Amino acid sequence: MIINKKIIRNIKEQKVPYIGSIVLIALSSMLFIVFNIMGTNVTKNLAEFKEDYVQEDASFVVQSPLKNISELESKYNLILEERNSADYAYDKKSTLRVLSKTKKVNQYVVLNGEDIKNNDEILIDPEFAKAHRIKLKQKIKLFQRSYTVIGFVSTPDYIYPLKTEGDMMKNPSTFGIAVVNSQNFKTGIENSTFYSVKYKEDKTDAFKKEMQQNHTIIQWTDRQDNMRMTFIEGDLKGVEPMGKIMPVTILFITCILVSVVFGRLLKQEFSQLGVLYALGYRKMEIRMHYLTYSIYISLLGGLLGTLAGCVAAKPFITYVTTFYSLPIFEIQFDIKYILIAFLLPMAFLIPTTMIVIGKAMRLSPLQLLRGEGSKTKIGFLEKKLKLQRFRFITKFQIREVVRNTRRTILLVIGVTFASSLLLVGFSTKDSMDYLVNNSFNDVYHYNYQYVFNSFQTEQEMNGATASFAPFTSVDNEKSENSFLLYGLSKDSWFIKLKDPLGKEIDLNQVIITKPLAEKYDLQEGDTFHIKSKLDAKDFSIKIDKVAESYMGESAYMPLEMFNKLCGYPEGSYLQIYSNQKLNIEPGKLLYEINKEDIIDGYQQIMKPFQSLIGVIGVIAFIIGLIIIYVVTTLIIEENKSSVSLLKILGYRKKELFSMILNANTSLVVLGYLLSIPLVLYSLDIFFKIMTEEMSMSIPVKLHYIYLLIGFVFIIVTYEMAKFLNRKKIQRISMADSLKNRME
Amino acid sequence: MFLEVNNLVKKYQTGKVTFQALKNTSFTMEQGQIGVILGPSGSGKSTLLNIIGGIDYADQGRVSVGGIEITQMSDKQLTEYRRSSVGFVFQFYNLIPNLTVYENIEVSSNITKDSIKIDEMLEAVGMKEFRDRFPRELSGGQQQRVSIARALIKKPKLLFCDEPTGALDYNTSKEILKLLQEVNRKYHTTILIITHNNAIAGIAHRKLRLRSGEIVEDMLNENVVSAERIEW
Repeated sequence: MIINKKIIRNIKEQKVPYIGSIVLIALSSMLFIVFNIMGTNVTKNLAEFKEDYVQEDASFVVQSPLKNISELESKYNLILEERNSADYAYDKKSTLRVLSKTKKVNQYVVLNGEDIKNNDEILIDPEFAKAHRIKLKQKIKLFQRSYTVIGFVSTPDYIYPLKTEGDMMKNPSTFGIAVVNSQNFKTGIENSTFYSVKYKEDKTDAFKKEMQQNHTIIQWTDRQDNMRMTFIEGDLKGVEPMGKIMPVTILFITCILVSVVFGRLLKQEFSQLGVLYALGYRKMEIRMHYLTYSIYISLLGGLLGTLAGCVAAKPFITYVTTFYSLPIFEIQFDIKYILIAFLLPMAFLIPTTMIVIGKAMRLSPLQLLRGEGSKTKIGFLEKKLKLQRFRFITKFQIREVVRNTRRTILLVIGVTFASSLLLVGFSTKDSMDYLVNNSFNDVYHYNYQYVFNSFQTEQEMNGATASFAPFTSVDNEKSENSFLLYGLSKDSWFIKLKDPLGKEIDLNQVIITKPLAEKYDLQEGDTFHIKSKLDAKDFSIKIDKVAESYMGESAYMPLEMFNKLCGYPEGSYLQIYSNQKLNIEPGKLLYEINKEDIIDGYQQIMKPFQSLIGVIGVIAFIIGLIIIYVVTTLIIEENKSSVSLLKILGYRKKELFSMILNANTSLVVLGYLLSIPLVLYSLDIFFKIMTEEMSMSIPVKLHYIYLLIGFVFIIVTYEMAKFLNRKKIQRISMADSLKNRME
Repeated sequence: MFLEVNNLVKKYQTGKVTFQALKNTSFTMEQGQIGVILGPSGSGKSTLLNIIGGIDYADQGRVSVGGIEITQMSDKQLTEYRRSSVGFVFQFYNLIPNLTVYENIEVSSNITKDSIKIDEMLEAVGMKEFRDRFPRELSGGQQQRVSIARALIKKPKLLFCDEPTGALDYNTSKEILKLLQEVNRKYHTTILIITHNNAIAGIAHRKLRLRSGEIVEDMLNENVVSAERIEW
């Protein structure tokens, strides 16, 4: 159609809202592709890694070694593998956990290099290698032996390499894993033996019972309680809604933007529409003409976003899989996501445009020719407003806000979305900060924690003793997940638990942490029916106190009571907490933890997160700027005649800027304020989804400093949009008012 | 003289074509007079009004209002001139559509230090009972009354009316002209009206006729008649 020639001309004349819409659509398509392709690829590769490389269902440590592995395998229909592990102090601050080569369970993948053949060869965790500048073919010395780094490794039980199963933060600077031939552990390396099990059939309880009876289980960790394997799953659960909510919200905002822009365009072109009718154009032809605008915009935005998404997806997948030690077997660009990313904008924009055009189509050709539809309608709210007591400029601004509800909604939603993005980043950081500070600095007051691989009774150790065992709830359906029950000696100075009022709790009673209380809906005074995961014995304990500690689902009771309850030797313990480094034979230890490492690890993990907050900030800035700038441009365009008139009447530049550009200040503030409860509420849900399978909960925190920074950020964005629009006001000629017919 | 226009020249460049809108135009007016500038389309009436009103610049010549020369003024000074000394009434009223009658007048009083009270002004133009209506809810004549009230609220020394009856019917036009005459008498405001309508010259003390940018007729009207008595 010949009239379609004016589409490009029109877009060129009114660049800002169209470019704004295209950028938002592109952003939406890009995020859709990046999150979904990353999510599906990581999920797929993770599933393959777990399945094909036989990820364990549980690992355990027993007091006396198993001699009858093949017999147990056939008896309980499972795969069982004995493994050795030894922690080597690679340097003053870092530990390299050397593991024996696996054959049946937790089969490793060589990411780069070759597999080990000889006893002097070693495979190493690539992140640890990077942090310690270890290169392929380099020789490293461990346990007074020289090894050649022959490759980099990833194992299914250390996808997220944590020193202990209950840790939260990985830190490649202080911890990593390596794999060597099993032969090496037979001579010269003091090591711990543990077992990995993969069930083929559910005979878990019977198997566990035999282990407890014949070998005495010291430690038992089910897969679902092992953060090394579940952390990535929690993260992936978080990615799924991100890949849908973010793009759809941006598209929704774009739809409002497009409806405002088209609403205005049609209003301006009502008389032209009337002329087209008069010339004999059919409704369908006119409808198609206006639909072409949104088709152009969505196609261009969708195409740019899809291309950008395809380019960005691979590095994003690599970043995520490197963060986790996950091998990538294959990256697939699912055509489904590419098509959706490309076509979804059209699916949103075409109906929106149809609705806007439909309204114009209801007017008769005569009404259109007379320009009746383009006359300003006074809304119900505008009529009802009583503004007498306000000064004139305020009245003008309030009327401006009320005049165009779609435009107002667009601004509020846009600012709320941009602010939410920003505050999500801040709040996540603040919540993590609180979690670590609250747990490690306020709750734990030790420097070193030693965990033994068998019961100890020696009382001369320079530290406080404790024991622990995994338990589950008997009554609750969530009983698959376990929690740790700790027995604490009388002088347990290393742990300070507080009640919700901040008062220190006496440890000589049964205490549970808040995440545990929340999970099983428990309160002080309740009786908690629990079952040991080691020997399936069940007990009832009365809860005396609930502690305000978020790290881990744990319960605490006096050590004597614990030993009695579990049937452990009187006076025995499995852990020692100390402020000084203790000289304990490595062969006796399962592992040791330095609190400083955990704090370091947290800071390490927060570094990329801070860059992520920066990236989110940039996206928030782009979205905020586009929306505020476009809305301000629309206000100026809609008020062109009024501005021209005000100039004639003698209004000064500053007064005009204030009247027109500041009209949205209250909306920007409102949008920001709305984002605060929205972020707190959504993050609470998001953290719950993420930590569903983890034995911890994350409290949502947002410090007022971050609120202030977020506010300043949004106001700066707003001021920048205003500044960019000042010239537009200056450019409006007084002649416009003389020529125009305003009413 | 209250208003002195001397040898005003204004040219417009459109591509390679230069159009001279005003050619050495000169005239004067006393304070408190009503002046009517007549002329066909393209005669330079609006250009003349824009320059005297401080909306446009002259290429040559000078204009002084109340002894102050405005042709040498900067943008900022012209803004102050329009703010304090002149009022405008337009053919299509140019009211702000989403402001009520009261608020449309407030647009002007808001930037004036010593303005007339809005209610008093509404009473004077006969619009008191419509103060909370929006322009769309008014007839053309009523809108023009509001426009006049908006112009007069700040007690301008000079009131410019650009085809004030151009969009109105016969009876309403006469009412508006009557109102302008009343305003002139009551507030002693100097009024300059631009129009196509020769008959309007009857209410003016001074009649000027422009043709192709030149004053072709400049005469004093000894027999000013009331607006009710003019016919067209």
